Amino acid sequence: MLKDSKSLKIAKCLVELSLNEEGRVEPEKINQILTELKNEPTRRSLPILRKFLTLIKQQINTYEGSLEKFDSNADSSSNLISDNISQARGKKINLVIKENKSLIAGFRMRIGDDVYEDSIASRIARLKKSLT
Amino acid sequence: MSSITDLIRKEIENLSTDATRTNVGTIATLADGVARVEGLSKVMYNEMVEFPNNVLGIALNLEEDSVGCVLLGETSLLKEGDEARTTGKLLSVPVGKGLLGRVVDAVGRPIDEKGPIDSDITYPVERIAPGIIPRKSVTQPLQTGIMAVDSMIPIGRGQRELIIGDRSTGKTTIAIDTIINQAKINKKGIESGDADFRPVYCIYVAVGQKNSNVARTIKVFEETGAMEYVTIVSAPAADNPANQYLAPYAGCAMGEWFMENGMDALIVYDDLSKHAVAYRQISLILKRPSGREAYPGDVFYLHSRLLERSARLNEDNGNGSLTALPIIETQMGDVSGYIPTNVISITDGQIFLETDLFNKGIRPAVSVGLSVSRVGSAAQIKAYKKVAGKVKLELAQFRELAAFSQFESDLDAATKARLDRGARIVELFKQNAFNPVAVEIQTSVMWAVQNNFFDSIEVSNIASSVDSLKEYLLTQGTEVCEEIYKTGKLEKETEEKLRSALEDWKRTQS
Repeated sequence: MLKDSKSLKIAKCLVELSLNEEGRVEPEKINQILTELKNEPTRRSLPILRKFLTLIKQQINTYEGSLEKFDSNADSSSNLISDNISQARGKKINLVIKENKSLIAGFRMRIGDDVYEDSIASRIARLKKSLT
Repeated sequence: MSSITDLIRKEIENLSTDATRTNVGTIATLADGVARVEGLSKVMYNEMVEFPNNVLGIALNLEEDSVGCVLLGETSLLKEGDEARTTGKLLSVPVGKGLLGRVVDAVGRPIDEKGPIDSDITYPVERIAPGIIPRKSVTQPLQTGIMAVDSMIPIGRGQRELIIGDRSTGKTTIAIDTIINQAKINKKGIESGDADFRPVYCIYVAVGQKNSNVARTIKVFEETGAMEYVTIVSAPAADNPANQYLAPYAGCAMGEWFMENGMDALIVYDDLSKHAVAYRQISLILKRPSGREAYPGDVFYLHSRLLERSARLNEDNGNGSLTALPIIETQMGDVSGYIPTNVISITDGQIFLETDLFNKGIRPAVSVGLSVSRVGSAAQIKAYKKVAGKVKLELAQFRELAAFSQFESDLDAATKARLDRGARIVELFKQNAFNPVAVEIQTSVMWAVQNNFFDSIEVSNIASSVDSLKEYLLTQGTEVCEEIYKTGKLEKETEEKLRSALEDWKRTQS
């Protein structure tokens, strides 16, 4: 893809400005940046905003994730998973618990681009693949 | 029934129950067989990426915010927003003897309706070529069965010899003849029960060709009985550019298996011009910077990393070999084009085919001046070396003199003799397609020319005389031919026997 390195560089700087001390995205700071960009638009505003959005999403994905379970009720296992993953990644990870009946049993957790899965549905899919 | 349940039970027993970790992304854009995926932050270059509906892709462009994946399957089954996941594997193809006699696509799936491929081994399509240490000099001949090639441009096992020329000049025919000849030699060698005999297995990679042409090639192999030693990797013009780009590498991986297991293999890439065009198409869709003739900057590396994988390995590494015959199509005979010069510089010589010669009826239309084998006579049996040593020079001198003699009315005797000999050699080298000649017959015919057995025959009758001599040698002169085949030498005694056989033949001609 054609590189727009300048827009990317600016977007990275804007992401740096949007973070608090814990490395988490601060909505107020983002609002401030967006207002500035709106008030003083440039030729590069659109590509910068696109890249900014992608990078912000990536940043949020580093500490926020989803945990899909057959039953959405929070229980001790959810807390255990959350604690373990936070320990493994070296920072507090917020997990949003979602219900997913297609899993049959077990869980599916997504943090950023990483998906951790231990469910009956995934085992059946693996078996299907090995038999075909 | 019980076998099926047993199989399922076995699979369940072996099934891993551990939690899995995968890296995923989402298709952001999808066009022209290329998906731009957001995410996949841990994907590796050339890694296989899994899309829904069993569609596979290869990660070719790794960028900061997205990954460019070339899709290998049915792209219409995908849509923007679909999930893509890494597999942790490089693209691999099945390899082994189970592929012989089969027609497969660029990822090694059978397309000949002969059932699944009987092979448990897979090789990645992209591999690093053997270094200098495991290699050995090319010394063992690979007979093409084409007199013009075997005498003047000998090819050795492990060599990379380019076949280059305009469209419809007989490039594919040379490659097919070579494969047919290998099958003939293999059959003879296996029948003889010689323990030291090393068969040559062949792989024919068809890139960007019409399906009808591929079907015709398969038919030729089947009719000549060569198919049992051949694997055809087909990525026709109708196939997507990703498959056309991958097919030569897949074929090469199949050939490497033979080489690494101490066997000899021959691979034909038909052709690399279309391969470069497919790669250009992929690169332009991936928006990579383009250079000369809109090819990407790494188009040289595209072919060099492929052809460098052909080698002759030394005894410590199994003594196997992979010989490559890449084909390049030129435009209006221009060998100085971008892709032709690239491949010429990579290979160990080239067989240049001229349109003019082809139209004059000189087939194979091998241009003596522009063709060369950098391995040279090291890849010829001693007997052939002895009789064909001067042919190239004689023919080159003939071409030069023939051009000058058009202006001269009086020619001295030496020039006339040279022209006569040259005209006879030109006639001698004319050969029908799909009709390779055994090396012992070639040696005998060349010996006959060098010893003036054809001097009294009219140039226009040379072709028929050569045919009759070949026939005679196959029926009456089997003893002397067998001696040349077995010893590979032309000793005094053998020469005497050959002379007496040729004198007998000569008497039948008068």
